[in-house]
Amino acid sequence: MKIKYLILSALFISLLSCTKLDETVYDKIPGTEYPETPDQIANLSVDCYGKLRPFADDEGWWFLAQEISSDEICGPTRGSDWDDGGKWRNMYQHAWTNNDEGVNRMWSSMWTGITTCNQTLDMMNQLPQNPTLMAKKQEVMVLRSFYYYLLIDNYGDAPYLTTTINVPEQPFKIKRAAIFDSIVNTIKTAMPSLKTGDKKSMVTQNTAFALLAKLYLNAQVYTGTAKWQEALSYCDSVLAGPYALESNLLAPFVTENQNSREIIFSIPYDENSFTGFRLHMRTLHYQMNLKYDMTVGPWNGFAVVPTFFDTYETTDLRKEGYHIFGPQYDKDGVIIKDGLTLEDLVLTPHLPFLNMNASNTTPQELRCSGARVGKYEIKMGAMDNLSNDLPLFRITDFYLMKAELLIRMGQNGDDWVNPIRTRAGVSTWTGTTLDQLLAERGRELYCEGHRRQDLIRYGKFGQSKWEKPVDAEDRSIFPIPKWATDANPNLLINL
Amino acid sequence: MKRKLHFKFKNLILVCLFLGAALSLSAQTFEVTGTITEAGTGDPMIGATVLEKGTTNGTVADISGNYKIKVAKGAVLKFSLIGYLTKEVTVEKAGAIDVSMVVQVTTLNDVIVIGYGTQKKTDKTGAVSTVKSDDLNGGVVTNPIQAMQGKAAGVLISKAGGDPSADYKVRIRGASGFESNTQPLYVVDGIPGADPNIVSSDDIESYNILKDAASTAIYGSRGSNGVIIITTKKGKGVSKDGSKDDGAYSNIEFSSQISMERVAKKLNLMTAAQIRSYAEQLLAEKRVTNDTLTMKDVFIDGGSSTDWQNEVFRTGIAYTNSLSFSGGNKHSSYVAAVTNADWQGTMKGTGKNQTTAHISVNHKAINDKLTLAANLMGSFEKNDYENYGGWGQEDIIYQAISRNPTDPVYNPTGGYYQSSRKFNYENPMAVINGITNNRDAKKFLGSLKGDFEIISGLVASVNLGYTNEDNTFNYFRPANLYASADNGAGRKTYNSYTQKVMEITGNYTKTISKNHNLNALLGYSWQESTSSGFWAGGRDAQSNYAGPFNLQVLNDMKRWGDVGSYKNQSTLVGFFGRVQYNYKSKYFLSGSLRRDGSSKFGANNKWGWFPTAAIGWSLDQEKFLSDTKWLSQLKLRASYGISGNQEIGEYHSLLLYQPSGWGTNAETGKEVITFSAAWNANPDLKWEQTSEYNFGVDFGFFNSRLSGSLEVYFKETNDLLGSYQVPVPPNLASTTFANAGSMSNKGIELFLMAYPVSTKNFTWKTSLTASHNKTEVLDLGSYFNQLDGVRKEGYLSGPGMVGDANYVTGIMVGQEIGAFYLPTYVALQNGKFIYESESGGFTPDLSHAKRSIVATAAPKVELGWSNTLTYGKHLSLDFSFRAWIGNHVYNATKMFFDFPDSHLPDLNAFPEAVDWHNQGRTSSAQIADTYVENASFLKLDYVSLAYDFNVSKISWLKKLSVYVSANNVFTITGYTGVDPETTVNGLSFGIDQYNVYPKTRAYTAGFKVTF
Repeated sequence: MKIKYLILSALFISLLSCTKLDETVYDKIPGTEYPETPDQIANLSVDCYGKLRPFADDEGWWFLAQEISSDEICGPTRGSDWDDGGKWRNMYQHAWTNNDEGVNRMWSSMWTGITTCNQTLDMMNQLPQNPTLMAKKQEVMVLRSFYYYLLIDNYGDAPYLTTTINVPEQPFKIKRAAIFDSIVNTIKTAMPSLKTGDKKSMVTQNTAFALLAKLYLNAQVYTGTAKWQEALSYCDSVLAGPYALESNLLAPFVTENQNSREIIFSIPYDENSFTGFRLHMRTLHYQMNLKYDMTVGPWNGFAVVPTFFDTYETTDLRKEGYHIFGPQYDKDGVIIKDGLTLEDLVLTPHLPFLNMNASNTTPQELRCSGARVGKYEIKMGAMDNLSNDLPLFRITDFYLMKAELLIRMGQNGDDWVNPIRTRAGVSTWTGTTLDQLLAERGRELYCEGHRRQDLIRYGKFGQSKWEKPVDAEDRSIFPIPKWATDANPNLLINL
Repeated sequence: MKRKLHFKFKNLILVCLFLGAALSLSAQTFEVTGTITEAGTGDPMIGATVLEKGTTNGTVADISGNYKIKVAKGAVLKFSLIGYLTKEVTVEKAGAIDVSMVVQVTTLNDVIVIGYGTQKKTDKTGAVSTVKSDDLNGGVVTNPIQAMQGKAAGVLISKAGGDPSADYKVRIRGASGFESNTQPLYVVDGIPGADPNIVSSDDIESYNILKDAASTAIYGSRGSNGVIIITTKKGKGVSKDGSKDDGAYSNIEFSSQISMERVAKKLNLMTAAQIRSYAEQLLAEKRVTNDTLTMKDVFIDGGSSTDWQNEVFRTGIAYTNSLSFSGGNKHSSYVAAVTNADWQGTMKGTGKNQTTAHISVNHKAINDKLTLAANLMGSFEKNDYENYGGWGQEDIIYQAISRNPTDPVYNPTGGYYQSSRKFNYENPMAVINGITNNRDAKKFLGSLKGDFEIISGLVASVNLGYTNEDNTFNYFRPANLYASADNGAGRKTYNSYTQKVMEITGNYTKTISKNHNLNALLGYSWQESTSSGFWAGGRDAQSNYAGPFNLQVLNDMKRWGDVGSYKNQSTLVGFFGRVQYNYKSKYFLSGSLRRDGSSKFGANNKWGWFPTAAIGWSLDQEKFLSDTKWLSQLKLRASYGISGNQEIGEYHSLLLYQPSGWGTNAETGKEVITFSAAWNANPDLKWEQTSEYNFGVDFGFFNSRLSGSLEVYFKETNDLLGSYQVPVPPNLASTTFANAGSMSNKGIELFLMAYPVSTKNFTWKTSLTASHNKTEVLDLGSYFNQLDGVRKEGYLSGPGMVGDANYVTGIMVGQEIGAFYLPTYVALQNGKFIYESESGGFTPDLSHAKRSIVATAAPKVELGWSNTLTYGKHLSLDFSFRAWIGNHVYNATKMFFDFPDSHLPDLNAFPEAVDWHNQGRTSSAQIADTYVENASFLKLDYVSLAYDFNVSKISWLKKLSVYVSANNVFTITGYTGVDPETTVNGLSFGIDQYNVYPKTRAYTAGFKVTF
């Protein structure tokens, strides 16, 4: 009998010890352990660059918003495809609300970039400081300034935060001009710590020069005060760098363009490991996988705006170089047939309407109209993501910027426009005007994400264009998305 | 000591008999003989006791039900047998008195299973429903939960459609939350957290459903959502005829059935002829402005006439075979059973095959003081899947209903006909036959339990359990099945889930001075759950032959997420105690307390208290009612308790970094893995708690020929667990898990059971369950920040549908969960819907339309009506009806297929699309209140006719029965879609968007034989 009680009490005591409730973490790294290795420390900034990945496609919308809201390309509705609730038409016709997909996602992808930089800086601040780490912090601050540059370019006033620790839960907006000043100062302060040389997907001194040139070029839009001289001096710094024109104007856009001497800063897309550049899927006709030996059928969407297509002269190498139109052949040279009409696939360059349906177009027009974007090489056997790097800063941009700045300051810009025109196989100009220059920027920098900003700087963004009337109100900045102002009503307050 | 007592007792009987004999000599005595049989069947009542009232003079009926007894004139004979109503007959003369005994209908001595114990049904103080094996639905039953659909009030068991591989969802008393799992806790043979699918419904003895917090809180951890205790059949030390038998006995039972399943309802889509005539109409309309147009400018005819629903659906065959051995003696008993079942789905390419096996052994030792029980269960399940939920290339239902009926299935030259009418337009038959998509699951449950009676009334128990589920998912799509970026793809996923349980309890039962009945329980429970697994997959299949089995044929396995693994673990510890007391089975009092700790919560809040209290009063035991003959039971009950929910996944209180993708270190050019915070730390994360009041009445009338219970409950769930999107910054990650918000459930439940007819040849047993529940959101919580006060759920995505306004469910304070919050359709204008607008006028813009609560998806009332009719000894008929009243479905299938533009003539649509075209509609799918349909239904769930052969002359055969049955015989409903039944679960449900696998109508024939 007694033994029984003994056993029972022993059991009871052993139970009391079985009350441990600490969680053992297996497949993740507890916050207290991270970063755990020198490699993890060295790679802390990698994610800051990684947040550029969504920018080219509809995950982040930056590239799509810049291009479609401008006069370059559009996403026409083709019957049941590409209606998508009108989001493509809204972007083209400046009819977006504060709840459109593009408006929502662009805001969030830019803030993800800014916050990742801030988190990384916070983490770096808690590590033992050494010169390498301190230089790295400056690099991350300039990268964060790049995200802020895109943010104020698209949304105007916004909160400005430089850390994630002890910041207000519902920060207020500050003026675009104030952010402009802060990021210019940040970049200038960081300049001596930045690496020199030519690293195309890293923030170097050349990237910083290019960023400052862009900021000053648009200073009038951002702050109300033009800074042409400052812009010019940073353009000169970029032009003094290790960059030059390629003899083949398509060379900067080939699949393996990572070493092109025209590229200053780019998003280093890869079809496997760094995916998100799908312009070919959006633009090619359904059956054009046969042309490029692709296993995937493209989506038959984006096409050039017909009036923009017509700004290219017939002899302009960029007309054929940057676009796909006319009869289409498969890889063996046999004409491709449309999958529904079974007629020969001939892409007619001019779209009849932005919104095509069974009532206003024939199946042939609906499916096969519009010249497609061919600027970025589509390699044989391409997958659903391209490996071409997307240039954010490219040297011809700075040629044309220099020409523009000279003209704006009452000087002659011909020397910086003509090398580009000559390479494109069109005649040189004397006494280039600002309007001519804007048109040339359009033709040269087509589908590189610059057009919206350029049109705004020239005051032409709100004008009428094909299938769009004049804007009834100023649409040169996007509204802060509803989801963000719902979560933080302070974003609605204009201080 | 015992021996002595025995001796004395024997002497006493002798003395009594002597006295009796002496007395009988002095009075007139008769010899009375007769046969005691069962009313209705006429079976002999072997072992029935015959006692002269007020004496010890008695006898027992023999194997033929005959008895013989000597009594004095005027004596009263009392006939009794457990389970039957006692009958008294006054003896007037010598001769035969035959007695037929009526089954005691509500066996007041029934025992119910409660948490960590059992209780006499009449002693219960909480809301507990019991469903016994005899009352279950049969026929095509793919899941043990399905078998009790509609049998217990307040237990809403639902599944939209008839996919044999899809699970039923159970919602007890409206249990709902924001993020936490709200399925009930299953306790299978004492093992909490077990998967009920491990048991075949044939092996189940009973389900006991604990509904109120006072009953469930003893399982504090997961009590909030109710507890379903499943008890499997055990071998008994009892022979076939019901008498105790010291000798060994054994049963061998074999049963087999075969079923045929047909699609109960298809969608009414346009035929090829209707499409062609529409194309003619369209051409005529267009030629008004351009007379050069010909048919090929309007429509490309596929040249055939195909009913795509007929192509992808079929008549399915299902069969079930089971074999069991059981037996035992006074000390030991065993059951060994195996069931194999195969269900061929009515959608081609789908099906399920399951084998369940079960061995249980019970043994008593040390003068019956020690009881040992061992239980082994296993389930081996194979599933074949097709996708049908979305609108992608592999979604069979979408592809079948959107496919143009003029397109043939095959090319004239062989092979599947392919066409590119639009993006992602695929031949569903090619997809069904091309894709491998299956699962192989093995489940195992082992338990060992020992009960030892330390002193009289005090039993100590140790229960050890181990459950494990391993499953493997296989997916392979051959290269070139359709144009895709990946050129064929494959993936294999392996998951393993293990749970270890140890529970130690002490249970003390004592009756003090006859009237005070006491039961006390003290216990400890420890539970550890571990899930782990890995997956690998890739693209560019270089062999379609070996692809489904060998990942090495995939040329491209270099993308992020192609290979991975995981492991999570959680621990739950509980200490609990309970005291139950009653005075003369008249006044009842009980209370319990559980202290539970879960590793899932924040460092500051791991432990929670879960108290309960309950009272009961049996009025029928009171003197003032004891003479009321028609009243056999009347009991009032009240209870209160607090239970908890912790079902949100592990580690949500901690800050963790996880690999998030590849990146190139810009400086070194090396490709590296980057890490990011998974979610924000929340050291305050704590239990979701439900407090509940329950009031109940149990009643029985006319010897319990009519009995039942009525329950009313009020419960409130607070600190709802949820995951919230939070701004980054100031937060490190965009997700925080937190407790926020509360909701209430109020309801009423009625259970009635009656024997309206009980004659010698015919009995009718009927039972009715009715329940009503109303869920109301009380607070959306501090993380909710929508200015309009509406938590938007049920976003629809489909062709042509983009934007943030395309939601149909709105959750707001004061409203039900699952309420449809929709704009009011006014008219068609300029080809588009216009709605009433927020500002008072009309608008075509959905985002400015005024919305209101139109209807709710959950039923207002659920009814179940089950019947068993027995005719003579051999024939019985079972049928059960089920009805939902007040439930609604948003018919998004109709919304996506009732407009002409972009569907016609290239795809297919409902015939209404032509009407819309004639009215000038140009818009594609548009949200509107007009798509909400009342989906109330009445369904004859199950009918079965069984015949029991008379095998009394065949010594080696104990029982042989044959039956035919039908499931889902008919459904009466106004709903126009495939199935009015909705899977009631989560925050948004009742949305039919070409995701409903057809419900089936099944016919079954089978037999059961026992040796």
